[in-house]
Amino acid sequence: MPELYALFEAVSEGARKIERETRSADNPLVTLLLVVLREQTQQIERLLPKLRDERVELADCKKEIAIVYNDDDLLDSYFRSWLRHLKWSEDPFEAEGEHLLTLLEEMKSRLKEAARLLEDRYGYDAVKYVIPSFYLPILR
Amino acid sequence: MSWIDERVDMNVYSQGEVDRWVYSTCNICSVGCGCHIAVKDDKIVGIRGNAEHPINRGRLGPKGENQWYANNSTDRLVSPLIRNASGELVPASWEEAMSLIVRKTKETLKQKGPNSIAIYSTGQGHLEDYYTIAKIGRAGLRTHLLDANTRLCTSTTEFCLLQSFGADGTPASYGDVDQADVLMLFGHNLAETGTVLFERVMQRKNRTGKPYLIVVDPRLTPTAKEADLHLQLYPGTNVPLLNGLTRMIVKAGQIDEAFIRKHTIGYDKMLESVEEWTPEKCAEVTGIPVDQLEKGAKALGQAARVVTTTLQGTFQSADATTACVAINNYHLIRGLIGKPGCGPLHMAGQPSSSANRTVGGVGTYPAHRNPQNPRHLQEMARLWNVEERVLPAGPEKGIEDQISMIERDEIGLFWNIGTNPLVSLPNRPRVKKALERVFVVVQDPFLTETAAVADVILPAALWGEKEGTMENADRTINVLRKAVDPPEGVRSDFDILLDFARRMDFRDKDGQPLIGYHTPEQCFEEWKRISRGRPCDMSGMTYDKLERQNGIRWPATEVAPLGTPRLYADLKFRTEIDEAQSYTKDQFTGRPLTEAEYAELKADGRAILHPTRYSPPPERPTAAYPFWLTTGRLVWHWHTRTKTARSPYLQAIAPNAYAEINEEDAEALSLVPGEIVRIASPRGWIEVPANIGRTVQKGLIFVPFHYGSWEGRQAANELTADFVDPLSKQPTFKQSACRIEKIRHAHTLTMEDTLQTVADHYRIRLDDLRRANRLAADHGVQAGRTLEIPFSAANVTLPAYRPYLKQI
Ligand code: SF4
Repeated sequence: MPELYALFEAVSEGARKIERETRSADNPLVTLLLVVLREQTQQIERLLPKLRDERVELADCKKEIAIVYNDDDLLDSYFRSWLRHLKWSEDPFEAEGEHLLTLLEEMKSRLKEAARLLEDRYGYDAVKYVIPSFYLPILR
Repeated sequence: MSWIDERVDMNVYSQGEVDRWVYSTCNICSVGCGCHIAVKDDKIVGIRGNAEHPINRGRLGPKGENQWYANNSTDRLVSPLIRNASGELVPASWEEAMSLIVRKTKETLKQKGPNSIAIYSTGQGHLEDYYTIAKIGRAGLRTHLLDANTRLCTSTTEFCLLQSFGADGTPASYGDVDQADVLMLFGHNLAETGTVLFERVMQRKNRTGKPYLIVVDPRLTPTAKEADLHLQLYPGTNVPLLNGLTRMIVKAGQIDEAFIRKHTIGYDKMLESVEEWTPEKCAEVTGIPVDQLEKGAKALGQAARVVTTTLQGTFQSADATTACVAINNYHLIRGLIGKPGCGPLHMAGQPSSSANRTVGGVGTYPAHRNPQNPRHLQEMARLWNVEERVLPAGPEKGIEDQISMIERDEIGLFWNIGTNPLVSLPNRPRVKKALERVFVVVQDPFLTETAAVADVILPAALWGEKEGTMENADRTINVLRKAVDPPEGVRSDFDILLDFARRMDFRDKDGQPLIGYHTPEQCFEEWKRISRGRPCDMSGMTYDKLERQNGIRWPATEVAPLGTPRLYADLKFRTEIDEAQSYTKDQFTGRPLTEAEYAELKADGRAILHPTRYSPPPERPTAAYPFWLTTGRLVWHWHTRTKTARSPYLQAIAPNAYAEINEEDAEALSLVPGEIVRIASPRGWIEVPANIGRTVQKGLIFVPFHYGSWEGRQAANELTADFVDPLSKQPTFKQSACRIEKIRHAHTLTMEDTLQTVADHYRIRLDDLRRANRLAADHGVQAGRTLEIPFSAANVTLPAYRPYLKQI
């Protein structure tokens, strides 16, 4: 499944970049963010080899997929909170933070695209309990 | 032992005898006091406590006694309002208002899908309203966006219980409070937030010396003043304190190893997480001296019966769920749960917020069903006679995430029922801006501050004007009978929801109306079927029985027809995979575990001990904002004062907000008592009088959050940061940073001036003038010198409310 592979790989690259850029920041929100980012990249690392196999069943990769999506959901919330914190504390990193938010939004778009592909392949009933509904196509 | 006597508190204003007394329950806080409503000439004219009700034996607190004035307030809304093209809210018929809502709902569903409709309800309605919201929301609208102001008051209770015990439902009850040797009130200012329960505790304490009272609070509250041990910690350090105490108890060998082995999992990891919290480190981080920590650990480590309660000081702090889980851990490692006088009693704020959690109007599916468990959704689909695939799966979104979604235009309709978010949510400037972008329905008896962003307003009935049930903080279901009809033009929340469902034509899979009941009692009967076999089984209850028994604690079944005083007496926890209400979350990040991960834990009916890693508040005092800001309640008001400000008595006692400032800080800033100061945070500012004293510790400012009128600048939530707890998503109202700015006139002295003439001119006391300018009593002043004149001063001394002291 090259398309899915490419999407998850790009998400992983995004997560690594955000992790690199934020790791020196000193705030509890960033501590949370880093733990989640690391978990997400780890799970994608486990997922990618499975996606190389065209015949992979959802049951064989649903745990990794679910964690990747749920992590992304948390990242969104923690990252936006941290951005507000940067703004309120007039932190010079704010501009860079805004840039990283764009990257995070791209990751989310890719995950939405991957969700659509997964739903096409395995069917809604199968992915319903794996992918949070906010990532699935909004109209059906 | 519970109350030894009854005392019927009454507040009636009537010429001559009342016509009738109607059975009811107080609709203010989560204590759940029984009462009767006085009716004369089809009007509510008063209230009296129910002498037979075991919770209060006739007693009522100040808010309870005065809640009925709101019913007769002349500014009740008696007609729907619709915002017209010029932006004004104008009266409309119910037909017009409901048709508009239905049209907007359909349009939004079509354009943005089901996850674009948000229902944000309350903790002050009836169980039947919440159940109807759950059914309409999930099986009708099919949205994930069901939340309530319970997110601000009680969601941490739910999530900490799910984490530790597998399901919601607080283990201990008030009966256990009556039997405890040690009662720890953790971030729980019971004297002001649950006056009758506090009176119950103090009556026993004054009689018997028990319980030994430990109060954990950064403020010297009226509750803390009665404590045997007040652990006055620095803001945001609940988890370090609990980790330190747990470590001391473990080191002293005061744990129940057999209980841990047999009934829990996760002990080693939990222990690892507290290992670094030596007494010295704990003292340094919390500010509590080691000898006091030792005293606390000794009391908690040795007592055979301990109840720990929690409320907003825990729930609205950073690390909220982890702190509550640490409390659960403590009870588990000592085996103090499921037996008389023992257990955690995580409270709720509002009178029925627990009911909203129980029946699935917020959070998980009805009757503690796990939205990630396909078997649970299949069961719900069968019970509601709908296809399983239409029921949304997975975790819900809390209000703060919903605000973000509104900002990204992902939500098209926001239906606000019985709550006032433009006063109660943190970072109000942001919330207002967001809600201005979306179609907002406000359902409320009054024109609240949130009306400012409403597109449609629906006038709703108040307490006493409708029938239904509520669940209090200790799982007691109480019934409320209807005393009078609502005013002409006003409808109950329940009737409004049923009308909406009918107009939307929601149907089950056989084409029958999705909502088949017509009255609250019929709804309750349906709910009983949904609850059967679940932890909150209410199949053994009826309205009549609830009245006869003066409330029943769930579960109440054929086997336990009079309810269950405490949970887990059999030490079987709800952690079996198909029984659990949640697969739990990672205790640090809040990430929901998958079914496979949960299965790997092998909890299988045992309680779960979690590691309690500390994560400090994201915002702390800085050079620009050097003070901690915390917000909270007064004994005289409830929430945003929608009801209590309409009681002349309560409003006269506490008409305005203020800022509590420590006397040393006031001295350093040469502040004068009652002087108007500006409190500013990175979000906004307010101007309120300074209430100087020792209630708050040095470096901390407290502002009550009740005051949010658009006139004046008193809203605490102009200041608060909108960060949330990672697990419960409850906002951390208790920890933001702020600064104090003085607002003063300048007066340059002339040759004719004396300090006395200047003080007289500005109508301030000479002492205050001297204090504001740091002038010694015998200090002469010279012409040309400029003095600072406090802007104005107000009397901010509120009377204390402590009836139990009068009795001693
Ligand atoms: S303690 Fe709570 S329930 Fe009881 S009277 Fe007071 S406000 Fe009402």
